[in-house]
Amino acid sequence: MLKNFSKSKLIKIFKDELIIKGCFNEKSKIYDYKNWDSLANFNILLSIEKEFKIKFNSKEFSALNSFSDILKNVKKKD
Amino acid sequence: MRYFITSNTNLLNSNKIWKDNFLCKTTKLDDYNKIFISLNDKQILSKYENFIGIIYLNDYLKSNTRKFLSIIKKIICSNQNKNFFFLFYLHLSNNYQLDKKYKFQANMICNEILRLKYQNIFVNLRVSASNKYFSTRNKYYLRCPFSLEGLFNLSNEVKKIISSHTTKPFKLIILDCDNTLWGGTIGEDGIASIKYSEDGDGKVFEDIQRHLKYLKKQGFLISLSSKNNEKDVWRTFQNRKMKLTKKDFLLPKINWFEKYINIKKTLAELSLKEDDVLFIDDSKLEIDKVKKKIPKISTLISEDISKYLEKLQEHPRLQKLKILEEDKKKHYQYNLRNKYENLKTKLNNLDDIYYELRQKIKILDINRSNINRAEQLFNKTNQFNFTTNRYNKNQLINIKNKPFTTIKLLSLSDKFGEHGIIGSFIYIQQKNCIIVSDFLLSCRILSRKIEEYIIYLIQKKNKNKEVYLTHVKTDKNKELIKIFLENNSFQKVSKKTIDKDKFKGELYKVLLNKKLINVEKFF
Repeated sequence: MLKNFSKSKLIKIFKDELIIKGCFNEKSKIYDYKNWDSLANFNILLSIEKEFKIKFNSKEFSALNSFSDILKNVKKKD
Repeated sequence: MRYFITSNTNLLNSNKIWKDNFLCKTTKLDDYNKIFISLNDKQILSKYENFIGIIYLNDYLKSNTRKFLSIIKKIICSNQNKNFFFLFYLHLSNNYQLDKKYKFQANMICNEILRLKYQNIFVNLRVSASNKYFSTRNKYYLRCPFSLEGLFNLSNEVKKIISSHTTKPFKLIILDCDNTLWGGTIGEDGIASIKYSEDGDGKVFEDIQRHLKYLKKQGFLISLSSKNNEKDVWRTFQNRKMKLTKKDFLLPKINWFEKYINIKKTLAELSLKEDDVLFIDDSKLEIDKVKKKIPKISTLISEDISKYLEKLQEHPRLQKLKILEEDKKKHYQYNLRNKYENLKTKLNNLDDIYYELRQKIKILDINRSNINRAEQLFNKTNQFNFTTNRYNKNQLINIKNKPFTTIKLLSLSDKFGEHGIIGSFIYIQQKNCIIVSDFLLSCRILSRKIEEYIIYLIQKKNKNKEVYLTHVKTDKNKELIKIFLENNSFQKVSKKTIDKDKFKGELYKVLLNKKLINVEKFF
C-alpha cells in the first residue's frame, strides 16, 4: 500500500479532472459523466501518477477506465 | 495580441496544465494534430497575429523531412506579416548512429527556416534523451510524446514566449560595480585582489560581464552608478582585462553622490522614463533608497551572485525575441545624442547649434526592409506620440494601401552620424484639409527643431489646404505634447467645424507663420 495514498485523495482527483461539484459515484466508469471521455481518462491517470508518484504500465494505461478498477490497481502498488 | 498554439502531437488540451498556466481569451490551443490544416485556414490566419507551433520532430525525421520543411517554409513565406514561434522537440533514442542522423536533420530544419531571414520567426530546438520529459507510453497511447512533467515545461516555455513578446524590454541597465561586476570592493580589497577570473570563484563575474556584453549587443544600454573613485574603476576594468570596457558604458556616473541623484541625471540626459530602467546593486539599502526616490524603477539585488546571474538571463524584460538592426545601433545612437548635448553646452545660441548640427531628414516609404522598425516605433513610442495608436505590420500595410492616406517614416543624420529611423507620420486628405492622424518621434532626437520641421513639410506639401493635428491625451504623452503645442502656433478647433467626427481626441490647426517657416533654414 502506498504511504501517501487515501481514497479521499483519489476521489478528489476524479472530481477535479471531471469538474464534478457534488458527490462522486464510486461505481462510475468512463462516459458515465459528461466530461469523462477517453482524453479525460488519460488526464485522470496522469494526475494519479503525479499525486501518488506511481507509474502505470502500457497495459494498465489502456485498460483502466473505471473508478473501482483504478482504486484496486493503485491500492496494489507499493 | 492574439496567439494560436498548434502542434503535430496531442497536447492534451483538457489537461489542467494549460488551464492553470495561462490560457485566456486571446490564446487558443488548437486540436490534436491540426497544425498544417490550421496554418492554411484563412479564417484562423485572419483572426490571429501570432502562431506558436509545437513540433515533435521525431515524426518527420524518418522519411518526410524535406516534405515537412517545404510545407513549413511555404506557410511562413505566404504569411510574412504574422509572427511564427516554432518550438521543435527532438527525443533522442540513445542509439548513437540514429541520434547522429536525427540531430543533423533537426539542425538542418532549424537552419533552413532561419535562413528565410524574416524578422518575425523565432525558432527553438530542444533536444533530450531523458525520459523525464518524454514518455514512449504516452506517445503511443495518447499521441502525446511528452510526460506530464515535459508537458508542464512545454506550457511554461509557451508562457515565457508570450510574456517576452508582450512585455516591453528595458532600455537601460544601470549597474553598481563592487559585488555586482566583480567580487569584493576595490576600495578595501584592492584592484589586484577583487574576484574576477576565467576560472575559480571569480568565474561567475566573468560570465555576468559576458552576459551584459551580450545584452548590450542586443540593444540594451548599460551604464554605471557607483560610489567609488572613478580612476580606480577604469583601472580595474583595464588591469584585470575584463569583458566590459569603459566604452561599453553610456554616461557612467562614478562619484560619491547618492545613487538616485546620478540615476535621475542619467535618465534626464537620455530622455528615458523611470520604468524603462533596471538598477542592479548588491546593497539592499542602496536599492531601497533609489526605489524611494524613483518609485517606478525596476531593481535587482546582486547579493546572491548565482541567483543574480540566473535572473539576469531569465528576466522577461531582458529578452528580445526580435533584434532589429536599429536595436544593435542603440548605444551608438545615444552616444550621438550625448555629442549633441555637449555641443549645446559649448554653444549658447540655439540657432548656432541647429546650424552647426547640419541635420538632414529623409522621408521614406514603408517597405519590407523597414516595416519591423515602423511597427516597433508605433508600439514603443509614448512620450512624443500625438495619438499613441498602436499598429501591427498588417495594419501598417493596410494604411499604406488606403486611398487618400499617406504614411511615411523619417530618418535623421547630422554632423555626428546616422541616427536611423526616428519617427513617422500618417495623414489623411479630406476635401479641403489634411488631418494628421498620427505623428510620433523618438525621444532621443527631440528639441532640435525636427518636430516643427516635419509639420512645416506637411503644410508645405499641401500648400492650399489647412492642416490639422489630432491629439489624444494619455498619461505618458501629455507633458511633451503640451510643451510642443504651447511653443508653436496651433489653434485648437472644435470638431464640428469640419467633418472629422471619426477622429478621436482634440484637433489643432497649424498656423503657418514666420516662426514655422524659419525652421527650414536649419535643414
